[in-house]
Amino acid sequence: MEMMKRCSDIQVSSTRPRKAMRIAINSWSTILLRYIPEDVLFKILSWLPSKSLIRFRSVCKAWHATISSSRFVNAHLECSKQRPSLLVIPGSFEMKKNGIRKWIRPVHCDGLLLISTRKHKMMICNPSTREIVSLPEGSHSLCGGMGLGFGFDPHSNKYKVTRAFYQRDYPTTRQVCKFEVLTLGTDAWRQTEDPPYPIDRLTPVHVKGAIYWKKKAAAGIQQGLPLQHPRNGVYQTFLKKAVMDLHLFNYADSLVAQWRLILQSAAAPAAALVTALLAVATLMSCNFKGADS
Amino acid sequence: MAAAAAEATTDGGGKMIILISADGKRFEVTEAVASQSQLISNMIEDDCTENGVRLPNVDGDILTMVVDYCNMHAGDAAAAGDTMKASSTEEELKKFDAELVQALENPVLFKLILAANFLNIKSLLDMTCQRVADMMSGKTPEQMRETFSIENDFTPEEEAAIRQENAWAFDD
Repeated sequence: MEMMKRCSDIQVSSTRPRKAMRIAINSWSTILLRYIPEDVLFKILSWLPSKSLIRFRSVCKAWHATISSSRFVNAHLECSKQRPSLLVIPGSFEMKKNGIRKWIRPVHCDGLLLISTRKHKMMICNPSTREIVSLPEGSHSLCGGMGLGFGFDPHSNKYKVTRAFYQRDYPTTRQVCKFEVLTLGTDAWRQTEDPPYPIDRLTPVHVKGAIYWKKKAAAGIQQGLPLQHPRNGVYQTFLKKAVMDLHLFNYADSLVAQWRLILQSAAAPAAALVTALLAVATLMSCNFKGADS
Repeated sequence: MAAAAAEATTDGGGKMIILISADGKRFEVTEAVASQSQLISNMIEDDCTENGVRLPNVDGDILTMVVDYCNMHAGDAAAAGDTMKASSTEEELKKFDAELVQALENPVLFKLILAANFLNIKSLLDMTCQRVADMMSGKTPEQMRETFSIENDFTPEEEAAIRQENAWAFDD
């Protein structure tokens, strides 16, 4: 918009001022270009929106190489975090067989979105570059519609997708809950240690390199939230007491849990549940000493 | 932290040091103000600011702006514990910063960037780089080549292929 306005201004004015203007621009830019160190140009480019950067890759080979480098991508991400933008996603989708499954909650990390379709296809989408990458299919699950976790693992410097699924255990024939992890850039899911509890199908929450899942509710009561590290599956349980309607959020890089307390009335003991209180707690996100993998 | 705060309250920011611009202008500032520059902060640590700090690549005009900026922002670091004070000046700081970069002519802006880079003042460098990026964001590759006197070293086929890859980024 701004550019168009400026172009029209130039057309209206006569040729003389136009020439004078060009000389003025060239004189400062060439003088300064001689002195602008490469690292300063790098810093300026880091503040540009993705769309401009995609265009500027065609300026010259040096710019193309800089903008495509992983060092630049990281610097650009850091700058973007200081000037975040809002992505609005519609609440429901066409219920076609191959369509995108209705999300319980959008799964995102560093501006990347994890999308799963009704046919259990999964893909990672980068809305700012309009790139989409399909992920390999995960293990078959007896229980469909399981939530997917997606996060960045600072130990390996990789993005990881985690997935809970149910398998039949033989010879007991019980349903058991399993976890598997896919490291972006590899093509196979890797099973990790089994979770200590059956997992709720709701979307888990990613906070600072750890993924927080909810324990499957028993008769509407959640008794704790197991925690999974995306790297190798180390679990820790928070919230040992019984609560209802547990919701997890990532707020400003902290895990926030909201739940209803279950109060047992002294006058009417045992099953009489008096619920009402609303509590919000910020839990410390744990620092893991990662084992190797 | 506690020791530094105590020192600041007793003598208002500690020792004074002299900054000398390329054209010989002298600026007297407190160590607290000057040490927002990582370069000068390192020099203070190494005890080599006794005879003034010569800044041969920074003009007096530009150094005036840098010193104004550092004076204005010195409260930031010092009042980190005093949240009431910090929040009351935050608005003023934002206004000051916005007016500083908006008012600058391009050559001055670039000189300020070079000074911030040389003196290693991260917040000033971020702010000025953002301003240039904002000016560049709507431009075409051709305008970039012209502005920065860059020669297009792609073959026409290569350039067409890169544009083809992300054609959407080229339409407005």
